[in-house]
Amino acid sequence: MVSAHQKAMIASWRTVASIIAGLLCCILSQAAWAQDRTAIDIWSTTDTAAFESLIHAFEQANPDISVTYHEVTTNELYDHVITARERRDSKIDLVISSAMDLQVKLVNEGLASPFSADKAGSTPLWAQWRNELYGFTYEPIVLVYNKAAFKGYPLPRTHSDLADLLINNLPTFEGKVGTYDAASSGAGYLFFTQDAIQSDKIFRVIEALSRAKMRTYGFTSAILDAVASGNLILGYNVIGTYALELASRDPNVGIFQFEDYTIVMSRTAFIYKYSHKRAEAERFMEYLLSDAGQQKMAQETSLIPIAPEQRRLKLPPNSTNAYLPIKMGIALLTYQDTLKRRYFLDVWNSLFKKPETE
Amino acid sequence: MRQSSKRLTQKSIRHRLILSMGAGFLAILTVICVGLWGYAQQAANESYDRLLHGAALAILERANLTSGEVRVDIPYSAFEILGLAKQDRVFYRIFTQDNETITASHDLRPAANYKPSERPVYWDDAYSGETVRFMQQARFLTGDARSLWLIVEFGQTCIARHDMVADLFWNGFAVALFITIVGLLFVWIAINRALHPLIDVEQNLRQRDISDFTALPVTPPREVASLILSINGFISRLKNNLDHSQIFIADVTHQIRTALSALQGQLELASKEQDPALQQGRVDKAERQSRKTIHLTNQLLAHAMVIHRADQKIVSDIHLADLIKTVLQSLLREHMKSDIDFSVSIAPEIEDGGPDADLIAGDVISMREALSNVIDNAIEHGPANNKIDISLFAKTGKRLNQLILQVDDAGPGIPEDKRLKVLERFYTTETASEGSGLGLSIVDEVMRSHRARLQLGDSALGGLSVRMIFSRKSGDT
Repeated sequence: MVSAHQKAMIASWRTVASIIAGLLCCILSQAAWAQDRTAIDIWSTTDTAAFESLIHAFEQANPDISVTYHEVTTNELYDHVITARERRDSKIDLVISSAMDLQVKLVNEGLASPFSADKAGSTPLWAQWRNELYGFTYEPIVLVYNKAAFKGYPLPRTHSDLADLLINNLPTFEGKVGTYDAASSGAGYLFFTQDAIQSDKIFRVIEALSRAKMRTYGFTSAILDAVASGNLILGYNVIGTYALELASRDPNVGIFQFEDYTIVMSRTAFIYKYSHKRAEAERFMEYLLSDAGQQKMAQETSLIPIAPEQRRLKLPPNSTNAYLPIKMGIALLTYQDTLKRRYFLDVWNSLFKKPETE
Repeated sequence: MRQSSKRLTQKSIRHRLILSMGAGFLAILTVICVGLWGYAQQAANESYDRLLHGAALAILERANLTSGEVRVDIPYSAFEILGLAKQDRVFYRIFTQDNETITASHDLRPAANYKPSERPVYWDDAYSGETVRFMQQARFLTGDARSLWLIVEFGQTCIARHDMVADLFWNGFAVALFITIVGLLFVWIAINRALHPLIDVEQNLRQRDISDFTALPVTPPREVASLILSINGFISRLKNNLDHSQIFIADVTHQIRTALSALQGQLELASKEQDPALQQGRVDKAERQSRKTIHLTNQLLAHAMVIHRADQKIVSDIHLADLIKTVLQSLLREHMKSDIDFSVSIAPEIEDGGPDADLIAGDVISMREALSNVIDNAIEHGPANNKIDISLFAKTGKRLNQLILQVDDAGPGIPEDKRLKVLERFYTTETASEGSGLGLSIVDEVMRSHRARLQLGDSALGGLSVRMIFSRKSGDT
């Protein structure tokens, strides 16, 4: 059981971690470079740990730029950026998020500044929008399972298989399945709405998840911890990057991808329109999308880069051919409509009532 | 600058044609471009307006009234349709006829004076720092409790539209430009073909032998036929002229050679004569022959001079009364001892008509030569007690303003059938005379170059009457 207390603990720990990381960056940069360095502010939803070495490599290649990295949740990030202009906040240069729909919404508000596609390296067209928003990772959404607890059950190959498995073994799985809370996690909301768009079968899955009394979490790490510790048997719709990393460390954690379709999420970045350091922000963006940056990402971070050659090396070996990348574009605004969101969350809340409100 | 432009216009018909055709094509191209721009804009607007319309209909299809509450479940396809304009931002608002917002991405203003209907309305406006195309579409929702119009308003930025306009325009422009260039190429070929006869003429004339006077061997198109005919006419006139010159040179050579060999003969006879009395007679004869030769030479020179001066077109004012006096004075000096009776009569209307009453335009020297030749001719062919009357009078009328200079003599005159012949060179009425045969021919030449008429007739004095008719030069012009 993840209680509110636990959740708060995790959140505060993460805040402390990000503050420490920021401070470290500051101290390091101050010590090494007493002379003028332009500091750029990156606001991101990606784990600082996953991004650190990339920033370090960038700073080494560009000694005149220092990076301040702010880690926040997807919905916090959206609120922070959408109100920045009113607050006269100039300490935003680059915005990075895994919630592609929220990013599209921000760009649709006219908050992004153009970045020439010529500098975008080998970013595929579906991961670009308006020469402003660029995807730089390729992360399948996977199912994580506790190998020991799952022993004896066949691995579901499709979404329908999963629904059957849960319904047929309700006593085993009740309270042992977890996923993101779509109401509070932007990424979770995106994955479930994408599921809804892809296939009608998802309603059987949701019904099964509901009957299995699925638990909801705010962060990937919380789900992964629960699976690793055996509190959960299955983690549904988990960002593959973190899951793969955990699976490589913990032999008790397994991963599989559905063969009917596996949604692929891409972390996206755009340069904030009212950035005072646009040139420096562009240089970071260029590095992020360049072959060098993508290679560094493949080698030294847990992120899976979007460049096709680099990406292939890092995808799980049992990869299916059913990857369905989320296409960037105005269509992602559909589930950001207030009414549509409300309808969806009404259903969601009725099915997965949070433990504390029970 | 002026010179160069002048040279350009002189330069070639080809350039002028190609320039005017080029200007014409350019004008057509401009018109096409204007039309193309309008068409491209209309096409782009219609295409992308349909996206907005389609998306709005997709949304309205999913709207309903349940227990008095409006439910709108926006389908994913609606925004996928809008996403076909890949780079464009989208704003929307769904509201009721009472302007109550059901759901919205932005607080858009509704169309001015909008009455909900099934027909979509479109308009352009600036929004969020860009030109935005707006559209409104309504649907009447019926429910148990109430019925109302539900309206979807979309705004879409115009990047895709502008791209499509540019695409259509430049593609159309490329085709129009291609047609223009091909058209001008055809014009160029057509001009060259049309000008071909002229180039043939030019080549023929340039490569032609100097003695070749045949007509141009081209069958000209209608437009240049008269030009070719004129050139051919000119060639034949040139040939005639050259022929005449050759005959004249032959005549002159013959005349001088005959005169000189006669002189040579006389001198030879004189040198062989033993008898001093007879020798004197021979010498006298030779002397006469010599004078005759000199006279012939002078006349030839006078003839050449008159023709040359006529070519030069030397023109000044000539007072005919003064001319008569001058000529007569030098003649009287020459013939002081002769019995010839000279009289001059100038009509009173000229005498009293003011300073310009006897004025004509012409060359004084040629005129003097002509008049003295007429009088010389009378003296030469007339008896020793000849009577020569010179008169000047005017003939005026409605369209007539002539001055007539007339010389009458009591000599033998010229029979009517020979009056034209005597105007030819080296023709004399009597073989034994001292005349060179050039006198009246010189007069005729001068009259012709002065556009005056020469009339030969019978004189009241019994001899020849020579009448020279000039048009009077009015004093004030």
